[in-house]
Amino acid sequence: MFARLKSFIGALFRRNDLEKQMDHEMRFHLESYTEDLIQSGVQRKDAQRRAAIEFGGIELTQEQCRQARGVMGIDQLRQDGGYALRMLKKNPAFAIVAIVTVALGIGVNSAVFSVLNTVVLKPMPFNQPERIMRIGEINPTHGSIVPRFSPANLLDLIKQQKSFDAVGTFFLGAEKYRGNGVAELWMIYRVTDGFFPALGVPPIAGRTFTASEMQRNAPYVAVISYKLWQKRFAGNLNAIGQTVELDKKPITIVGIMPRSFYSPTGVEYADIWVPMVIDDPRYRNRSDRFLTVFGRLKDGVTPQQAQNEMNVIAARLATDYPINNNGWAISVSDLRDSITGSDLRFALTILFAGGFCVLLIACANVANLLLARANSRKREIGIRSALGASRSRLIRQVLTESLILTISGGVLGIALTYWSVSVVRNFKPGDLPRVEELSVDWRVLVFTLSASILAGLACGVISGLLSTKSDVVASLKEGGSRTSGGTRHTRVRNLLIVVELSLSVVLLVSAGLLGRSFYKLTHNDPGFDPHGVYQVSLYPPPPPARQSKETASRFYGQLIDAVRRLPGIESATLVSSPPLTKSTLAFPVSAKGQSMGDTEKIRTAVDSISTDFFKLMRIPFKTGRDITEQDSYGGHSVAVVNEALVRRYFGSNDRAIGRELEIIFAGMPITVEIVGVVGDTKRDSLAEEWQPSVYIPEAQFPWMTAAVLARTKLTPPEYYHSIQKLFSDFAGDNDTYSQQTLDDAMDKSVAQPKFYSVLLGVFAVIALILACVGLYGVISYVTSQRTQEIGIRVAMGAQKSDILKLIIGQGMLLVGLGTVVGLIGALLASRLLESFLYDVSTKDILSYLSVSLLLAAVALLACFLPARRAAKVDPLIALKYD
Amino acid sequence: MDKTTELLPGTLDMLILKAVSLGPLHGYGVLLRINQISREALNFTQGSLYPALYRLEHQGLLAADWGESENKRKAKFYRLTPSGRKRLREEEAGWNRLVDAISVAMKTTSEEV
Repeated sequence: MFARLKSFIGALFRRNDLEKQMDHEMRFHLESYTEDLIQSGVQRKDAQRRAAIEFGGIELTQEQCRQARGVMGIDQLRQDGGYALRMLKKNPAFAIVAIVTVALGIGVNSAVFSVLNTVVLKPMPFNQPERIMRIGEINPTHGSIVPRFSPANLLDLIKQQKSFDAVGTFFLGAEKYRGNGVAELWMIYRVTDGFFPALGVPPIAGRTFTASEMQRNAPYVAVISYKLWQKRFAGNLNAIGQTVELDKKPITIVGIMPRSFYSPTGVEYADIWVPMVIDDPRYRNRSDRFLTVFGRLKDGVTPQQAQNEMNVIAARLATDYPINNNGWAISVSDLRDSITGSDLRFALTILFAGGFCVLLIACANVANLLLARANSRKREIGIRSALGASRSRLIRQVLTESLILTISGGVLGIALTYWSVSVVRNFKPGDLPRVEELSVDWRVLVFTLSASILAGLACGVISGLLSTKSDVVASLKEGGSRTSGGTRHTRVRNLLIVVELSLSVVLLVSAGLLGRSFYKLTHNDPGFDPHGVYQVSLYPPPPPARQSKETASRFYGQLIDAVRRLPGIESATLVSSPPLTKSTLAFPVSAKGQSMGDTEKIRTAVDSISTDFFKLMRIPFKTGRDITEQDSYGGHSVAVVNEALVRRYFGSNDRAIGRELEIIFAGMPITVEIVGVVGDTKRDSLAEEWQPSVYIPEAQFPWMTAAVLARTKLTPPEYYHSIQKLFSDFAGDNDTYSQQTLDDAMDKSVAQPKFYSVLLGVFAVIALILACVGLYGVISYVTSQRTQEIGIRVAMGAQKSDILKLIIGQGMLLVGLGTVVGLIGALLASRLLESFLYDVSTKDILSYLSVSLLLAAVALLACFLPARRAAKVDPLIALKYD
Repeated sequence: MDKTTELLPGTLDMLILKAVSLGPLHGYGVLLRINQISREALNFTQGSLYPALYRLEHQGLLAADWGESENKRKAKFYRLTPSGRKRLREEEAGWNRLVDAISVAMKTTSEEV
């Protein structure tokens, strides 16, 4: 084995040396033999001749030696490669079509793979990320499947558990940093002392938090991100120990996290981490579950063992606090799974499957092209095998050619991937986690390379096996006449085309369904009119709003009056959760009973609004009255509810008026009287069901206010300019508040479904084009093979239309077959799409019908072009045509 | 020429191994040695020695070094490796079995059937 390797490597690197040595050795033999002959009395001239004759052909011997030495593989590869390149150069159209086809197929796959890679495959930048578990309370019978803890239950868990080295949690917010004359918004994470140890990432400088810093009144300390450290402290290590002003409070920096560190939710990036005090009187309500918690398993503890322990703790919590905890379990799940979520992984898998279909179509096309080529080279192949080329040698020749094509396609595909990855990054597909990390890394490159090689092998083997199978005599004979159209090749090529067509039908139907669903999603009535409404976020609240409830109430009242006085403003209002920004606040709400007692407390969306909210949003009033200026701070607490809430508690709108609701704000019960009922609106997503909502006057509950909404005919820059000026005049506040139109918010809220439908749509279009190019190729080829036959038909009196019908009929038979198979496939595949579809059935007739028509139209064109050429055939020329 | 016989396929490798087992030889030397030990009874193209030598070297049965020939010229000398020696023994045993079997078969008379 070793000797072989040595000789092979030697063969590779010392090719010229070895050639020289071989020459020398044989010359030595000839000369020695000649000498011996001369000594035995032969004339020199005769001796040389005899030596040469008895030695045999020196070239042939050398060739055999090379083969024996193991250089042959390389030489043949070089030969095959050179031959393939010459053939491709001779037929550049063929090469370009094949390479572009493969590049599209590979590029599409690599682009999806790079997303999959970043979101699912790339390890998270934590120490032993597979040891980190997401833990949380769930209650599937209540529909609470997102695992979250209430602070009080979490404290008990941390005290009792033995499975985890560390358990941590965080809470996200935005706060202002003021200092050195700059004011900027920092993303701030409130975290517990277990947060960093659970993730297992040490700071690059300084330390993280201690348990004592989780107490109230502990010194205020912070850990900052690498980005902030670079930006604010120019990467200087003396940042540790410095004090900055965060939200008017001095805070000391104790640590700096590495650049790669990010929050385990994968969506938001933090600038700064501060201690979170969960042992706080405000958090005593065990039903208020809002904390995302994760823990690092101790060495040797399996997730199942941890789950068993959690079951015990959950049972104990339920026994100790039955009112809050009955029916609640504690789940333990992989952190990565909880980040990517099964929905997202499923969506990416479907996209990947779509991309794979495109690649299959591309491969089928290349195999088809190669087969067509092989067919026209039948005679050449016949001659080569007659001259003694072995079948494996001929297959290897086709394989080399196919690999050259697909690998070039793959290289072009990589360029396409770089481009498409930057497109995806800019597309910002909704809340795709870790999208900032999206890049073409070695995994993507390895994937692309293997995909191109596999594609090359697949195409090469198919066409290689088929094109070399023919027996020599038949192929030499058959090469002479071109009448036979229905050979084995044609059957395989037809099969490939039917597969291509049906795959593209599946993709087209899927894209059509998603597209229809997206259209419905964006054209359904959200219950309000977003056009021309601007939103300015007031979060975090400006300073006057934070002194007391009275000053806040006064401040917001004056602010909204000032906004209303701005020129060009039709109306303006305040709101706590602007629609479609996923900022809905939900609190436990119950309806006060008359005879039966109170209803169960259910977390329900609560909005604080100022007057004019419904008018501005164009939400229709159903009954009762709107909130007015009279519903002021300290007055009788009132509320307006939507019809979904009425349906939940009261049955009819009239019966709701005058009834009372109890809302628990951070443990504090507040009773409000229902004075009006409005229509339902979409709150967080356009796809959601109508949710019950309670609207309360911001004047009475000013601490929730978070945004100004204004309806205006001003253009965005005009409006933003005047509102910014107003804010700086009014609050002495030079900070930039985030602003957007509700139309933008709406676009953002549908970014993810849009991403899926656009991507699948692109795939489907590429698939359709590739399949029809393939169809065109096959029909043209078959037509050219039948030229002679067509000539005879014309000579026998066939009309142009007959020929057209003949050729197009042949093509459309394939199309019909492909469509039927594809529609059946789509019917099966669309079941997978069900969860992505909004208000569209998976058996949506319109999508299926339009796809079939589209395919038929494009395919008809693909068949018509070669058919017209065939119809123009001149019988005289055709019959002479070889 | 009349008394020479064509080489059976596959036997050239065995003869080369045998020739080289008697002492290191260059390519021409192998030819001479085979002629000598077979009493010039075997007939084969001289050139066909070389692909066989290269094949045996590639398989690790022979090793080669450059040295000086009897007439003071640079030449490639082949010698048997341990695995070559082992192969030679196997081939010899196989060959002897074949020869015995065939000669027994050929000596068979009609009475013995």
